[in-house]
Amino acid sequence: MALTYEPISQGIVSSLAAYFEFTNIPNTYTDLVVVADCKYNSGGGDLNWRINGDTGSFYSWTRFEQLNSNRANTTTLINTTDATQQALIIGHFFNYANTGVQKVVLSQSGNVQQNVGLSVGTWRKTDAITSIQIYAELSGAQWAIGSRFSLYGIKAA
Amino acid sequence: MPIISSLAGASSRGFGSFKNLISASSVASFDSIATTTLSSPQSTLVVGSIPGTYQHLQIRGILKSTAIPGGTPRLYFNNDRTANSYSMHEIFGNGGGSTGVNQQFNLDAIYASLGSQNTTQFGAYVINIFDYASTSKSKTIQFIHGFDSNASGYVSFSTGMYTSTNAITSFGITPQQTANFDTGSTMAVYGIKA
Repeated sequence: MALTYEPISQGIVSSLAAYFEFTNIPNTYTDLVVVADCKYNSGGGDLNWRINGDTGSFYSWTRFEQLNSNRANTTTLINTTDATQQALIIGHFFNYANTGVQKVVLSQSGNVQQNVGLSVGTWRKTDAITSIQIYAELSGAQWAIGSRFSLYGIKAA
Repeated sequence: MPIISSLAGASSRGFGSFKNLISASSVASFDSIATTTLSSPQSTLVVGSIPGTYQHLQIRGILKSTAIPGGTPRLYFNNDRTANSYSMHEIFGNGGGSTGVNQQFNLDAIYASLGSQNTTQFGAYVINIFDYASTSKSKTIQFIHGFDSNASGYVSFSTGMYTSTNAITSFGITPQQTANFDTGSTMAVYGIKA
């Protein structure tokens, strides 16, 4: 059997950072998994994914969080959960290198004080994903020291 | 802005500074067992001959239907569609402002959209099947799935049970109604070692 769940890249914030980005992602896997164990220095709102630096209106998402709260939006990013408190977000990026399909992302998320949720997002482009930027919903927020971001590749047989 | 080198030629960067923590060690505990990708629309996605040599299974993929409504697909094991063999619970969101819950039991399969209820964008799913090779207990599964098509969406966290104590050796998904799964739909099965 082929070894298939491999670490690709990982970084830990050693001084306040406005965003984190995995770049030059190789196209040799089937799916990507991003694990974000992170927190803002203050404020910040939800954690967002942005793909290939694309700031156009090619994204949409649907999510639920806590109980009695679910949201949907058409926007310029894929939204997950509030990371004002220490949060853990696991993002699954499916068929990320397949240039024949638009990209779909499932994100499991929660923070220690106020919410837990699940979101699905679409990036309506068929380009291979080569970079993933992780940043705060609200401007001015920065990733706190110690925030850790890990990227894994899963390869199907 | 520092650039951090890592495995596979990828790099990480940010507006700030970062330490690279990656190590080159990979543990062989997650293996690819089988993959199915549809080259034409089909009414079922099936993977068989699953070996009993792992502790758990994870099944991942993307789905799209050729027509709506395709109904809620049926997820089943060992080609077993016997009544009263399955049950499921879910919590879901559809952007409508309130979160819903669903429970069904005494089923002939687990009812799960797995992101397939859409004809434009692919949806996605991740299914975890625990102790699938056990011959002494019923099987429990946990899965996340959903789709978003810019004006509508559905996302769900679900659990299910297969009451049989037989080891799981095959896995299948079929639509509830006449729609097919579209070209490009995938099912990839992975084994997880303890």
